[in-house]
Amino acid sequence: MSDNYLSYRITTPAGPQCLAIHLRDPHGRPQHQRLRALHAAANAWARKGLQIRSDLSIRPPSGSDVQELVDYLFADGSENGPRLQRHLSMLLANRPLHRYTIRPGSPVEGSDLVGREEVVAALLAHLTDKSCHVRAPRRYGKTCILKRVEQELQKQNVPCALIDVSECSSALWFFVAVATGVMDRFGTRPSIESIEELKDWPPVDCEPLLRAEAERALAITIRTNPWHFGRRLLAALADVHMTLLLDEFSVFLREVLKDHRDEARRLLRMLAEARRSTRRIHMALAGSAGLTAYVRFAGLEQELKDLTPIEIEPLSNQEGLVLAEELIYGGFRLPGPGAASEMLAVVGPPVPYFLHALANEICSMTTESTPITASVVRHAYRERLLGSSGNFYFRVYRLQNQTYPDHLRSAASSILSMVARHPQGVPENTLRDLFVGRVAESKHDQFEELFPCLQEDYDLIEGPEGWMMRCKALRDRLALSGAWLAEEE
Amino acid sequence: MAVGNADVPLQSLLPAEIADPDDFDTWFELIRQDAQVAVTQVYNAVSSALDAKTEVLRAEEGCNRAVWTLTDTTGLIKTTASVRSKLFRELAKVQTGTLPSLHEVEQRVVGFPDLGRFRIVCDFASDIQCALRVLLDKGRRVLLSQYPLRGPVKNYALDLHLRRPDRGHRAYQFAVRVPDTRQCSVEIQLMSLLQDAWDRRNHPMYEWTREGGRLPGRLVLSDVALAETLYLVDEQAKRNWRAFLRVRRSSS
Repeated sequence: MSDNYLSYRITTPAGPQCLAIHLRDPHGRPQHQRLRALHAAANAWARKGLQIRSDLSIRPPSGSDVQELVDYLFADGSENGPRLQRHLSMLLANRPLHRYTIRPGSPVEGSDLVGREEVVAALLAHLTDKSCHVRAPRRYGKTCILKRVEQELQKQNVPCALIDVSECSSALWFFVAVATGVMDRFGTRPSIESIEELKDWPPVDCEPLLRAEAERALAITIRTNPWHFGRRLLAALADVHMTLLLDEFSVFLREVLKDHRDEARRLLRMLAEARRSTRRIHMALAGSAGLTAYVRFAGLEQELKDLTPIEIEPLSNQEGLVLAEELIYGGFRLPGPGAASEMLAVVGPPVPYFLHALANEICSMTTESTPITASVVRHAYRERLLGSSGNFYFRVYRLQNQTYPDHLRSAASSILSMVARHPQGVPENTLRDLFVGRVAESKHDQFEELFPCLQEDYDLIEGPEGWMMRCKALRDRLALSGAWLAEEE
Repeated sequence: MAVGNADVPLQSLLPAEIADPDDFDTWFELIRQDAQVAVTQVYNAVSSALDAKTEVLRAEEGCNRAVWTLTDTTGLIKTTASVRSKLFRELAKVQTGTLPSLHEVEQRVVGFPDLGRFRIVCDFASDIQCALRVLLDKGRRVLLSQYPLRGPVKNYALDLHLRRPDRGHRAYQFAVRVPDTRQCSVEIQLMSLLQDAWDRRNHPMYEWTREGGRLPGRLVLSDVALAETLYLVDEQAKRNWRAFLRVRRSSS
């Protein structure tokens, strides 16, 4: 009976949907037992007031979404009912069944984005009349959340543009990037076409080379007085109640602050005015490093103080479990029943990036036929993610990537190493004492400047026994070698 | 196809809990799932037994033919519409003035011999007899020592009393009860490739007449003549095959 199909048909507002399971069983278990287990899971799902109709046939019903039985099995051959229920829920929501892709470090999009509904909703609510700073350490998913926010705003017909400003080295190029990003959104074009310099801008679907040429021409045109263009551009954007989602803003700031400190301050002041005037632009700023460092060390508090911080935290455990399990299936491996919970146990509060990284290492060290047991997970974590092959994943957390003054790096490294080695928490006074011992006397008061930056950039949270690093993977890696943290590449 | 008629709709024959078609569907879904378990159990047991015999036959004949194929008819489980239709016909016959209880309706549905069903399609008529010997005990009361038969094996090929000369394919069929599934029944039909082809093509006509449609006598006779012809073709094919095996054996 290996070629039979068990199908579940459900009725959705958009019409009937059907999931067909090809009952080819690699474990050779009696199929009637499989049916009982799958039906039990489906019935438990349908108990929430949903109607489900099952069928057994030799061919999959036409139009059905066909899955293999193995997609609903754990590595030990037992049935994974919750996964079947998740798939039924996807069909009910009229979404195609989704196989997750393991991609540590690159922004996840579409159905790969798990459990960010609350923070996306918070951002959307906030951006209706305010601006904000998306606050999180590196690799916590700021970019993918901004992308989802952009999609949601577009659905609501709110003029918006997500613009990566990481390659802008001056205010001039910042304005060019904003103009390009905005002109690429068809809905906002008519309102800013009145700006003389943008009148001959190529159409949205033009060749990339043509657009690059337009960008270059714009830069040449406005180079004598970019501020004049910038003011008119921001005014035009304010006229249409534009929402700007500026990604990699801290990279831009770092670059422009190096050689053009006054220019940076002037630009930030102009952006602040655009955010604060009656006809205002709403902005969400995000970047590879927290803005706190700029507020503290570059004296930009006045320019950035109106930005409300919106925190991005790890996923809930339930969401983390689902993501961990789906990533294993996404890597064409079969998880054991305890594999996902072990992934959470080793990674700690589920930061998607580290779950992706661990799944990537698990798949690298196994073949498709290897059952992913808890011990495989532990091995991949200890020997690979925390081992030398895993350095790649932690490079972005090195202190050299942060905007801290050079004379504070050693103290920062010591503080982070101590916090990492004491998972239960370290009292703030102890950290202050450590800091004082590492910097010149004249700099002792800078603990108050540095510590909030470390909180943002390394997800330090205050627990009952003091400050601790929430992300266990990062904590474990830093605890292994504090020196590594401060090393130059 | 519409169930019931304007005078006696099915809803009026059913207990209130399942009178509404949606409620009936929801109620029947759990029975349907048990029927799936039942048909799967029997299907797998039959498939394994026939697979083993296939190897023996291939070795004996020196030919790598399929011998038999397990297949469904219009699905392995009777459709909800078909169950409602059959239930209507049965309840309409036994109307007593009081509605049956839910339990009584369930017993009636579970008792449908063809609630779950599949077909063994055989290369030759002789393979049908071979399959019956493999699957049933000598008294033809138990399938594979596990599943008791509900009644005798029906021989629609040669039993004139069953066959009703103007209707149907020439097949063998029987039903078994499956424990632990509300005693759901599973029907197994055995027929030749040609009879299976005839039945598949003819099925819409059969369904139509079962719901009360009337075919002209000329069409009925013409169509049944086709089935009879195919039966004769099968018989001749069986003889030819045996002759071929004899010729090949003697030449080697």
